[in-house]
Amino acid sequence: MSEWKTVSIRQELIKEIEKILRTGRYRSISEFVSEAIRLRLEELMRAEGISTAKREELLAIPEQLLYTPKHTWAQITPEGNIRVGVSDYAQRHLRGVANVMTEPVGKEVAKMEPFGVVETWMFMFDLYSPVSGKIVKVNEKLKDKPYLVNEDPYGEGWIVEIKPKNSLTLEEELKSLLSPREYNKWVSKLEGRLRE
Amino acid sequence: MDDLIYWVEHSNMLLRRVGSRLTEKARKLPPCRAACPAHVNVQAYVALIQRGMFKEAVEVIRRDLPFPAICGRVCFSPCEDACARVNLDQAVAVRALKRLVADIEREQGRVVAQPLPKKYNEKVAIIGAGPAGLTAAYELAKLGYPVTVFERMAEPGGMMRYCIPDFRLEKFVVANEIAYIEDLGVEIKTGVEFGKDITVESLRKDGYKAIFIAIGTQLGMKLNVPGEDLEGVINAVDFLRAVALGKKIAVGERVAVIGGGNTAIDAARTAKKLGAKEVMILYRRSREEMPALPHEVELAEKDGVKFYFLVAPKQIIGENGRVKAVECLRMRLGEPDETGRRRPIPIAFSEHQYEVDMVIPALGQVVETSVLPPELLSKDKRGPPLQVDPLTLETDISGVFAGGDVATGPASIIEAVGAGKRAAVSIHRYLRGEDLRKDRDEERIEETTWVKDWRLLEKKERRYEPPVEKPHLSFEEAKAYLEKLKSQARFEAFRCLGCGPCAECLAGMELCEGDKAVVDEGKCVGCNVCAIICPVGAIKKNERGVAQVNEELCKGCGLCAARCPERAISMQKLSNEQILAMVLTALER
Repeated sequence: MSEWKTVSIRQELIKEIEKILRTGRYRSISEFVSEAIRLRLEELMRAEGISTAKREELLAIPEQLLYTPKHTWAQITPEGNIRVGVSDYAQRHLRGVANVMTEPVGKEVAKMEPFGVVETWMFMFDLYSPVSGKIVKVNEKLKDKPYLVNEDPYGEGWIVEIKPKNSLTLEEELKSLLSPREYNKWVSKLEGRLRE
Repeated sequence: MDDLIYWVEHSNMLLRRVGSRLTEKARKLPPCRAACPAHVNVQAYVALIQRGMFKEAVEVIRRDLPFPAICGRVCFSPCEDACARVNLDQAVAVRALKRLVADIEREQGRVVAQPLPKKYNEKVAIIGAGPAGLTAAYELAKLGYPVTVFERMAEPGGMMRYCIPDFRLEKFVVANEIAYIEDLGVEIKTGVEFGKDITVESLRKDGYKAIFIAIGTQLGMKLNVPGEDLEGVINAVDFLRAVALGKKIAVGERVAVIGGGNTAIDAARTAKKLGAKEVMILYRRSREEMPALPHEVELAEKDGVKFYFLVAPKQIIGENGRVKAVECLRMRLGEPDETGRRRPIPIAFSEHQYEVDMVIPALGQVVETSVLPPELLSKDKRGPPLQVDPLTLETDISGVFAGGDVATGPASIIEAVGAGKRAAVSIHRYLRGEDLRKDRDEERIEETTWVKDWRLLEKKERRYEPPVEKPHLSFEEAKAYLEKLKSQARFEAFRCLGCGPCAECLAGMELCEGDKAVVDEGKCVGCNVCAIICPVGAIKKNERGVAQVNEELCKGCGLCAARCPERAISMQKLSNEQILAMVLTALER
């Protein structure tokens, strides 16, 4: 699990970052910085010759996503929908994903209510929606290749796209979700509990 | 001494040394393995489960059976019926254990097999990607042949895919097991219809040297009563297939399923799950004669399916072209017929009606003879439609073999697997120009067990009953749940008596104790105590009045050594090299 540290940035750089922030690519300075650090780290690791698998493990939690405590992530797509999937941490506990079942397109879901199930060979794992809205897209690829959830949880392995109810509630709901940093803490706490 | 107590207590649980099970004439197997049509090495994988070696256990199953997860769910488990423990309390939960080890393997992640090397050039064509065809393909691929499987439907799997409903056998299980076979290098071509797109001649022209026909029985049998063409009458096989294909089917409010087999139960439960208010099963005999599995019947009752016994349909009554009711006759049971079940005899003037809006006949299936080459069909109309040698599965055309349901009539998955294995052996021998009949395993197999006196054994009730439905869990719970299942399974595996000769698990030679009794002839006084105590009758006084050990039978339990008043018998440990040599010679035989 990665450690968290405070970083100081030069004043002139902050101004530059604020300019970028206004374009809307990043939501906060810290997000930009962590992204920058992530990229730099990746570069360093590549130079050091650390294997891809190890690198991926160290950088498993992408910074631009928001998380629920029930291990689903949310990402805003260019069309303004919310893309939902399971986190890398969840994926590691669901090695044998055999089937992904979700509510059909057009179904209304509420925040933190189950909208589907990931079925492994031995048990079922409920998926909780990070926002309330209507399901507009279901990842059809998962029908034939449910293992994509394991192979690429943040990319090809997304599960549904939800069209939010309205922008006001959306903003509130997004605020209440966990940031990568909070999620990281939550996971380490859980890990501790699991080890016990 | 402590050691000895341990031996006596556990001697019925531990795997015994190698080398005792093969004699010249017969291949001696424990009852479970002998009863299994595919001869899956039950004793070996149960012994490995005892030691918590789940992965090795799946590997042992895969040696004989390509579908551990499927058979772990829906096999009718002849092994459990044959289990020696039945005489004591209950059989070991073999099927549940098989399901568990197969599931645990997949729970760790997707299983991708390495492609097998091709040793031979002769191409083999297999028609029908059901259990028989796929098993033959699997076995031939293991032998090193390039194999192509042709399948009419869009997805391989045959009846496993299209006729067993999702709640009994999940579609992903079938897909995964078949993907494993494909990974090994078997080519599966779907959407190719035998008799239309390909024929025996066209396959020959394409360079296939041997052909195995395993098309199964695809047509539902007819009721042969008036009113069968009414709207709302749909055969069970067509009904289940349509559901599996995802077609929208309007299920009636009141549904009558006619028949008492597993397909009838499946159709009834499916109809109930699709929203029918009332589902009834009409069967012409009584519950004892039902061919369906007892626990499936219980589950159907739990789902709310009603059973009416000793009734047979006389006609289906319609109104405006739609089903309105079934008129039935009451039956009574007469003398047993050739299948051993009591024959139903109609009672005159006992007509009564059941008001229904859907009728699903599930009376069994027949071969679709129109697709078969006419020279293969048997002349005798009453017998099986295909003339096949029961041992070698040869047909009248040289190089064409047929097996599975198509030859035997509708049977079970595991019987089809057995047929597939037999076909693979025959095809291999045919292509190598060997004698097809000599020394076939099927003819040599003999059941054997050392358990003779049940009073000596301790009773232990079955503990492991896997959950009927998968639980919804979070990770923390899932981990504990898995651990619990694993330990329960190990406990259950320890109920196995290990009653056969060595299980040939070949998985961990160091597991085997590898002892054998050696008699010091100078000390032996011929008191015969050892012969009395030996549980397998391996030690006897010979003509010189000295105890002699029969190495074929000795299981190395050490009882004789402990009992001998003269200390003339000692237990000698075999080295791993010796055991390995014994295994290898045994396998060559």
